[in-house]
Amino acid sequence: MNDPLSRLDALSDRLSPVVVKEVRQFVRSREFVASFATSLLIALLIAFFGSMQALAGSRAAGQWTFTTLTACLALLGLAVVPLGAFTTLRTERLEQTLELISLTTMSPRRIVVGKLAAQAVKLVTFFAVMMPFIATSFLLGGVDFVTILTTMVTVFLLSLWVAAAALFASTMFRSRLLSGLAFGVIAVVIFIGYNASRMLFLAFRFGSPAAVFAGASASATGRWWAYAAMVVFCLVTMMNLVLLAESRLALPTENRASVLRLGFLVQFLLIVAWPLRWMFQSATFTTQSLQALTVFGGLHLALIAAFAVTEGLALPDPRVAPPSWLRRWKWLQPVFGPGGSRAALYVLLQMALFVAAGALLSATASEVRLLIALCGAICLFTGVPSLLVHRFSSRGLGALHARGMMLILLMLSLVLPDILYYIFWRPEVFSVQFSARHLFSPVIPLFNWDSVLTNRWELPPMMWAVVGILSYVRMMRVSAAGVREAEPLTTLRILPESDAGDTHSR
Amino acid sequence: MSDAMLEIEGLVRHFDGVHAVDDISFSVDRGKVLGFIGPNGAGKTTTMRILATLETPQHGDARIGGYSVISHPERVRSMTGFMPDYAGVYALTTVEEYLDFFARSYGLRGTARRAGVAGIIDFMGLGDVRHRYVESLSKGLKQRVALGRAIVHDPQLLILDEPAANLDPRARIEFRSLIRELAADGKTILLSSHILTELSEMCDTIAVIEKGRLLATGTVQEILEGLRPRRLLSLRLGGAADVVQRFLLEQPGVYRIHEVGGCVRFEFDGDDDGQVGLLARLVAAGYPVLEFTSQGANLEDAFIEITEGRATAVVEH
Repeated sequence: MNDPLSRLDALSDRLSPVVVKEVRQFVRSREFVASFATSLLIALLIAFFGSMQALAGSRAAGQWTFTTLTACLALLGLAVVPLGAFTTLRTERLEQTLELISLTTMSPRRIVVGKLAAQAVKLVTFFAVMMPFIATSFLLGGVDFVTILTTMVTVFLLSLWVAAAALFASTMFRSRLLSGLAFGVIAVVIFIGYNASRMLFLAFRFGSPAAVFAGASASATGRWWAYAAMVVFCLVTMMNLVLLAESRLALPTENRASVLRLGFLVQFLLIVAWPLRWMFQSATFTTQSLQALTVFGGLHLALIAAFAVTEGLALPDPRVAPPSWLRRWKWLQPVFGPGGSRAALYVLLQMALFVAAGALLSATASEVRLLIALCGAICLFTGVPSLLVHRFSSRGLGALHARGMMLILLMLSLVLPDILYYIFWRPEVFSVQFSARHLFSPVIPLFNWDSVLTNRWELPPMMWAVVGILSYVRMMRVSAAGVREAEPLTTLRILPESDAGDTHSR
Repeated sequence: MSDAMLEIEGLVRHFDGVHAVDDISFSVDRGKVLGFIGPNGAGKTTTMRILATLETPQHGDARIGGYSVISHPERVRSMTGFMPDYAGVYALTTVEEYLDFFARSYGLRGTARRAGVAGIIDFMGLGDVRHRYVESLSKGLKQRVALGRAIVHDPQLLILDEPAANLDPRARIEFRSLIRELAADGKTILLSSHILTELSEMCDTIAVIEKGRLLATGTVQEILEGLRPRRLLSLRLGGAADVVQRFLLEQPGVYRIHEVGGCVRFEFDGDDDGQVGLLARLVAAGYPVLEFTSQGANLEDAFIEITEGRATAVVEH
């Protein structure tokens, strides 16, 4: 028991079983050995050429070496590691070994976190390979220690975030083709996100107009705050990706909707809190903050409404136990309990927060009305399809149909006013410029709010908003009726925990 | 208090309108082995997956050691070992590492984990292959590893779906002896198999299922007796067989006499004493009796007759 191997084995008890297994597997895999050896060779070559440049008298040798090494590390972190993460979980699903793990006492969350932690170990290995060479770039000059440190932290965090996204992508579909497609889509989104975050990072480090948007304007302290906020947001969204993957892996006997809602609420609070930081600043800052809140808050609300509200109004099996925190605080069940109709209240509460935050930042009532119209439109496009699907659920309609209907309605609302106008009125000049006909769409006026205000056309968008909010109210009534109906179903003779505990001994 | 380890009450599971499991109820006492028989698509695997908490029933419930599979799935998992009909092996993982991983996943730590894995390797006879990759093993050895995985956390109930499928006769015999040892160790076992003769040797009780419905449950003997209440006897004489038929017809409790390959076969409605008396009368009457045997119905006959609807009586256990 005193030999190092036994001590390591004992220490490994503190790690997730998935990490232990994955590390054992990947150190033996050809892919890992190949990427490890290749990265070592490339880093050696880059450091060699950097040193040659420095010997030739170049002042930019250190910066060139650092940038090139970081690019290699980013390639490993943003492509090789996420691809490995995607493959490992997809293989588990295809080979049905995931089912075997699900049968153990390990929760889906521990499985996903274990998979992510294994990728973190892989990343650390790659970073360890590159670090001595990156240290060389510092010695060559042209790049400071803080830049190296923040860049490394950023690349590591981004890589881990992308690995979490890849894990989520691998849980989305069972078929090889569809999950591959999902990975492709996420790769494109990540490429765009990477460029955006790169711009923000460079703005933070070296200063640029974009830094204003990131909140990195005033002082060094302000920039560190902005960086901290980016890190926190990255961590929170990564946590939500893990929760999303977990909810996809959960067995039907597990309720994972509640914790997912909690995670996305935290994300929303961060989105709201960041612009509110500029509440007492100059008008320029508050206007920019309101714009940021409208865009990011609106996008967040649209996404959670699209997925949470459409999940089906019928309440799940009442015998499936809610998480312990929800059992303790029962009053939270109408908001965090599973079921699309409960999600309606969850979304409405966030919308109320969104509008309240907007009111604190806005200078005029019309800006608040825009936020209300935006929330109403989100309610309309998610609530009405959900209610229709619920009405015809006996014909086999489900969440997928509601989401499909939602997209169709959205597309129709974008193009139908113009199509009908050109079919029935046949104008001589073709123009899609905003005009009165677009008021039939709940969406188009939101993008042309200044014209709406100028022409005093606020009533139609507000009416659409009222219809949308009423659809949510109807959904909540369905939820209340569902709870009343579900009560008599809980007639199973389930042993109380105190009695049942005696029968279970391991 | 009931001594049932497994209780199933009115279990219903539909898939797109297909009744995979349709109102099934039965129970298995602690330390007993129940064989689950049914043709492909009868609902055996779905029932087992519900018990393993991989599926939820639309109606009804199952309790394992008193815990509902719906409301207490975590506790059910800790006391259940499930071996599905697929191997589920990892690449680049040795037998020892594979078992170690599942021991860790079931929450075993430190000495308990090491001792548990070593015990399983020893019990399953995997010592020689402990450092070999699982994927490189033969089917028989993979099945052993899979069984080892299912029992690594010392469960009270074992659910084995077609454990002997695709095994050669030798591996099958070895596997059967392992099951017997586990049953002797006090484990409650629920297993399905297409090899019915094996089930009759291993199981205390049998449950016959078809189209999601339970057709019969009981001990093998009870099912066979319920299927064929009269004994089927066979008689071979030293001389011509036809002369004895008239004698037999005159004996009480003898029915449906016919000749098959030089033997006289008939049904006899009587107990052991009645059978001894009949033999004594045959000998006393001077018939040269060479063989006098009882042709017991086997589980395969019973299965065919029950699933084809010829036997309708359900034996309640």
